[in-house]
Amino acid sequence: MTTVSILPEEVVDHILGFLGLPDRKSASLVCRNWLWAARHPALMRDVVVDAGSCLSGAAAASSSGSILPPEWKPLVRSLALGSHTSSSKSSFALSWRQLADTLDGCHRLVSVDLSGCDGLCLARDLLSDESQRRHLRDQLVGVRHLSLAGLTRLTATGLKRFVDLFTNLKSLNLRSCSLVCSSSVAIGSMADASVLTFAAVLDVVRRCGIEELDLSCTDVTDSALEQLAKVDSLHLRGIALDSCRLLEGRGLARLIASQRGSLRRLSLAKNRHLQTVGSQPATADQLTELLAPGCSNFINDRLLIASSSSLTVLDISDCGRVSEGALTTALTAARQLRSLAVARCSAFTDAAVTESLTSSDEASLRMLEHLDASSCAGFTDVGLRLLCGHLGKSLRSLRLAWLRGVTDWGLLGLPQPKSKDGEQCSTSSTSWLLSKSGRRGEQFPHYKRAVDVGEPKYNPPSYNELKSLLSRSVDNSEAAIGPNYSLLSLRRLRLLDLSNCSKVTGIGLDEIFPSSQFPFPDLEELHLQGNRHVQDSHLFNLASGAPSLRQLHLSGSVGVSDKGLVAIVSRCHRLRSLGLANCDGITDAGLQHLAADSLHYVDLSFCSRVSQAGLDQLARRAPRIAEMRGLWTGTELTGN
Amino acid sequence: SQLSNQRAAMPNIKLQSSDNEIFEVELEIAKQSNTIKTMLEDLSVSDDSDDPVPLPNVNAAILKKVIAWCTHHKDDPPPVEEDEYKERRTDDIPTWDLEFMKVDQGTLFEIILASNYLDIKGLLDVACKTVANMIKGKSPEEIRKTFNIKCDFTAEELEQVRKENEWCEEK
Repeated sequence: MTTVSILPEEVVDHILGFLGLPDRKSASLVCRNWLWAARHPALMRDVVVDAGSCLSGAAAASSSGSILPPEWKPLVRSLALGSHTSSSKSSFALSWRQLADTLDGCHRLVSVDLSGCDGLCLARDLLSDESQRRHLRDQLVGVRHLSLAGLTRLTATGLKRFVDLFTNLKSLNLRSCSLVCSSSVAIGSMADASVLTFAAVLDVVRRCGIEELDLSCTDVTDSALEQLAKVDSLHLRGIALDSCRLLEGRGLARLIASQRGSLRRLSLAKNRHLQTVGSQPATADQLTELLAPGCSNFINDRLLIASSSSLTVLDISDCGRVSEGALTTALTAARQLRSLAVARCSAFTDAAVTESLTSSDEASLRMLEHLDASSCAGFTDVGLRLLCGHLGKSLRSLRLAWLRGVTDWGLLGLPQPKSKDGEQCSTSSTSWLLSKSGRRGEQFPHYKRAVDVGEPKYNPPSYNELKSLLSRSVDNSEAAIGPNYSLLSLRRLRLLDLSNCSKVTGIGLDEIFPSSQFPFPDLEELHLQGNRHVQDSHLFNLASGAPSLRQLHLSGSVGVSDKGLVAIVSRCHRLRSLGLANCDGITDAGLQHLAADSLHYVDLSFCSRVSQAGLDQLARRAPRIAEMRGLWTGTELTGN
Repeated sequence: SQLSNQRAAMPNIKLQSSDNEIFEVELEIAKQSNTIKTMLEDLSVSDDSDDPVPLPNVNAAILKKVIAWCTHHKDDPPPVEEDEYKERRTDDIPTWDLEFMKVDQGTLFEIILASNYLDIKGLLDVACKTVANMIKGKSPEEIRKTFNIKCDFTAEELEQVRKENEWCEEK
């Protein structure tokens, strides 16, 4: 019989090209031919090689020599030498000698990340040999992205030294650098040798023609941004200014106005004091990515509506000033939107979702792949059913944490029946659907009120009731109920967060994690913490249906025992993070099975039947576990 | 002019499989194969159109499957050059193709080889996606079992590859 071995290498490459990195990693371990195919340069496009993590071994001790093996050099496109995963000590110790030896020969490099390699700033030997610098520069012509994030000791002179190696730099990350913007600092060689002046940054931006700049977590000021706006021939495509405590808005408004033609990405996370300045809504109509979580004084209705039609990514989590009407208008116009984060925004309600999904524009929201609607009190079963019904083909991640309006009924695409006293429950659909007509354009106060009134009694469906409802065919598409409107239609889900949804109970979990035909074959991340109804049986089904699972958070699941844990660990061989805090069913005996190669993070805090000895033993047996939490374990064992 | 009349009336060409079976297909269908298209252009075979185009790398059984696929997809828009940064999906195989690909592994691999040789991008992609779906979510051992592959690594090499895989992260 013809076997897979007849396929030429280029075809195996082509096949692996359809798979994500975790699957390609598995393929690389199959046999030599597949290893070569999986490490094909074309497949390294979406891969960051984190050489920082190889530093921790023998390489860290010596001060010269490449950190990367020679056969890896021609493969690497993105190289991280920094501390973002490994212990910061080892990356701190990186010397210029090692950096030069490592970069030498990496001729495919596009992106270099040196975040946290602060030792480089202290070193005296800043690669002073000009011929060596030229040699390196010639090989690094392809590098467009440089990250110097977290180099707190970076000075103006140091920045010039770094940038001088990369002739075609387009993007520069100076996050958390100690930037000095004050004009009182004398510009001159003394200052350049001791601090990172904004003048030096301006100089680099001007000389290289930087298009992407990250100045997050720095003391950048409004007047500094005004200076930046004045740079001739500046064509910024993206700027990140997260957590810049001194920004008030004037400079940003000027910068945005000056970059009207080019600016596409704007990241402003956690700038609570930032204000919109002037009457124009920051001319944001060309932005494709707007990330402004926590900028409650910046994100307003006008800005949102003006920018919505071109946006692909929008994060307005914790922006309390957005009105429901404006968000509805924005979502209806959002034909390109792929990612939407509206956590803790009271404006994101069933009405907003219904209006935009049932509007005359059939393209509204249809591209949405990622949604974070955590803690949106006005978003309930009704909105969820519509999302499931319309976005089944696109949605990949769905966060519904802390939603008290999402119940078993909604997950299964069913309306919650009337409670016994004849009163409608807040999460029922029909009353709202009836009252909807003629409400377009209003502020939709209905839902907030219904939730504010107080917690109605929740009646989870009974098993028999559920079976009869699920088997009945529903053809009333107007009411948006039935199997097509259930969570089960989101076949492409990779991330599902139902943590702390108090009205999702065992019967709902039974249906979304069935024993046959698991509905989410690509599931990689599952959050069920704070749900007391998770049982071993759910874990059995999860283990056999979601082999790609990488993160599982079950903290507080008292119904989970060692048996469930064993099932997960033995089947989900890619599991990296496991949260089991407060799981009293887990014992030392269960931990015996946790030695899986892939596991990097385990949380066993407050597990009363796990002892310190059990934790110690686990730490010895599974050295790859980088982070293990075990606060207050063994209370039952050590106590009375 | 007589010749062109004849061609307009009968735009068929003959394809000859490796085991010497002859298939007559519409020219437009055969031209989904870039290899055949180039052959016809380079050799101007159409002048003596009765000679079959020899396809020494494809046997009759597989050629039949390939022609069936091309016939069903003859009205498809030409394949677009994919954005190389875009994530490539494997869950978008049309229902007809899913049924079409329900064949034993040997046939599947031969279809891949044939579509690769004949340069039919649509068929190659859909067949490769089918194989990719067979790999998805599996451990290395499960993949070996599925495709009957022998592990030719030593234990040390496996450990080394595993260690190196740790360096790689998604962007």
